[in-house]
Amino acid sequence: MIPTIEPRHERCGACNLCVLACAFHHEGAFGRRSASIEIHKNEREGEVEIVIFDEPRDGHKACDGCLNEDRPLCAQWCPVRALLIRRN
Amino acid sequence: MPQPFAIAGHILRIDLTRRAVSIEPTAPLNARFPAGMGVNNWLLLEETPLGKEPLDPENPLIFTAGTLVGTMAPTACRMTVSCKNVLTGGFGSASAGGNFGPELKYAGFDHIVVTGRADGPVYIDIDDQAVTIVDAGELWGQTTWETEQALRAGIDRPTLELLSIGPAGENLAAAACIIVSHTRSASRCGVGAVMGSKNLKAIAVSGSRTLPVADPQGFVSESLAMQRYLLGVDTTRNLRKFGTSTSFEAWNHLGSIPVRNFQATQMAADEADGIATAVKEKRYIDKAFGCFGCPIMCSQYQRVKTGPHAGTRGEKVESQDYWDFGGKLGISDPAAVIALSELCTRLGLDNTNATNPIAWALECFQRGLLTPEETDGLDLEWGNVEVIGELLEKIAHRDGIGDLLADGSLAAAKRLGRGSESFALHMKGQDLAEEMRVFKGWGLAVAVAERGGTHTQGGPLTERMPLDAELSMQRFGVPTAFDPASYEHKAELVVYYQRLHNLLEIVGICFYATYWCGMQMMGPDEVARLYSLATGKTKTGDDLMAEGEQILYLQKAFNMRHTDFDRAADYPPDRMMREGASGPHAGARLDRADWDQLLDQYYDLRGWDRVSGRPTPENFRAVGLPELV
Repeated sequence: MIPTIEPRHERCGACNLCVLACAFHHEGAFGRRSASIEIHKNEREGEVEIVIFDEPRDGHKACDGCLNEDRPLCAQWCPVRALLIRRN
Repeated sequence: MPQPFAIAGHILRIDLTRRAVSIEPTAPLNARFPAGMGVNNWLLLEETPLGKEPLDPENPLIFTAGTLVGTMAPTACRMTVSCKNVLTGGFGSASAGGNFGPELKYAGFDHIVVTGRADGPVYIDIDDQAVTIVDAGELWGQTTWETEQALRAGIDRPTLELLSIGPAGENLAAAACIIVSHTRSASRCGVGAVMGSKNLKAIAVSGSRTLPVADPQGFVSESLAMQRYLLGVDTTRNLRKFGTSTSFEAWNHLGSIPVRNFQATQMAADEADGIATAVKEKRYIDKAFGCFGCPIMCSQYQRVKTGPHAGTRGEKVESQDYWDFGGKLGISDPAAVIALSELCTRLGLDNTNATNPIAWALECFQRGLLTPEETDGLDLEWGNVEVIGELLEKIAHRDGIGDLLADGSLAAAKRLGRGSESFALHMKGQDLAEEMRVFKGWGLAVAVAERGGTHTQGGPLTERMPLDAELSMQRFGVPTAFDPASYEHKAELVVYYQRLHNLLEIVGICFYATYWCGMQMMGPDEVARLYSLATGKTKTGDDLMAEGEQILYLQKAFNMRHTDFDRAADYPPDRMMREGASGPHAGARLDRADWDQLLDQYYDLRGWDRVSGRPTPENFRAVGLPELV
């Protein structure tokens, strides 16, 4: 069963460690563009929106719930618990 | 050529005069010098022509993102820029966090070397390896935030990252900085003015590449273990909760901040308490943010909701901002400090290099050396927020008295004369944020810093931390670290932190994650483990510290080539020797004989010539730089 990731936008500190973790899961290397997660930060207002791609878009791969991992890597790496895992 | 591990693999060269772009591999230079600041400093040394003024178009402005930047190594996000220093004429550099450095590497570049001067305002657009020079006439005159907004509206690409200058850089103010990712700032040395001298308003970058590492699973395990460890350390918790401002109260308590242009070293209790209480209460703090890849998250988003500064909001007000605006200029309202700091960000002003000439002017006014006729009618009273805001605008636009102040306090004092030189507090020509009288190692680091007057090239914060003798011996090779008044063993501490700071600029890890901030954070050995797993080149902490030492020699070589700095340039401003500190170390001042001995010890540790304060040919050979003999 594929777990889904439930973002808690208000907790996110926009460090992008989840993005790095996701790109590493997909490619075994570090980047941003292939990640299934993107952090949109509004610097002026101090707000963040966490976007998770269920389908491929603009180079982003679809989230596969890190099926080969014990827990999705993005949630493992998040230092502020902004990503909850829902086992469907 | 296969992509090497961790680094991006290319150097981007842009000649703005000829509007020519070229790309070359990083590997040949990286085989000879450490990545990041190693290659950057070498390029600066080799490619800066002799005898040119800092703002000459021929001079290069060189950006880099270090070895681990863009990987999961905790806090590895730093971007550093090097150039001829506008204030000192010698080595110049400035570093910023944010997201630009990682994105530059995802576009495939470890360095950008910008030379020449465009015939009109431009920005550089880097879309992976497609690089274009774009007209920026409409952006010229805009603030950094307006510039970012316009570029984001006009460039439709995911993961777009930006750096820009504001009016201060356009008008070649020596206090101009480069603003990165909205609120991060590459400050000091006039780097924003150098960018302005090239008619370069901004750089936009986005990249779709990835950075492979030599041992992916090993590196990820080590990085995650380090992250989890750091999250459990009190230093991290404090930084996340309050930001660096949390240290303001301690600095003031110790009587070691610049007050009213360094006339005193401790803010009065009623003035300082307002700031300290607001920090402790988190009165303006909404939320903590991190730079790219940083689990610590020291960047507080602050919002002022009421009062004359209501509407002010943004990130990254640091302890140093409270020294600069609170202490140095006498502002006791924390909301005003936040507002003025935001103003500096928008204008593209380095808070320290902007506030110091203002502090000089305020003291000149206090002493009757400047009259209202010479200050555009402004009443230059300490702590007048409105007037200080107006002066910042005037500096950024070189308007009226702003033109006098825009080249730094030393240049202003030389123009004004009237004995005002005594009130220009600088090292090697660069304005100061640092009080130097109380903590002797701190003072030494600031005095000998190759870029001129900065605590981020060897300042030992350790001096402020209780540390038992055994641990001190183990870490630094000297038995004491916590004795502010003593000159003993301070030279050893400074040399240690110079190497540490330089090695961090090789890898791009933030100082705040390391021994600089606390002995429980990462040291050279921890960084070396991450470095080895990422690059496949096995190095120890000592190996990386040796590379940090080599970086210092590259900086020194630049100063030897472009300046006449000698031992005399390593003495603190007269005020630090003549006038005593206030607070718990009341009366403390630097003693010339003691300082002479301290400098001798510092030079002796490296075997430098005591008279000139310079390395010998043998020293250059010993650190692996025979070509500089």
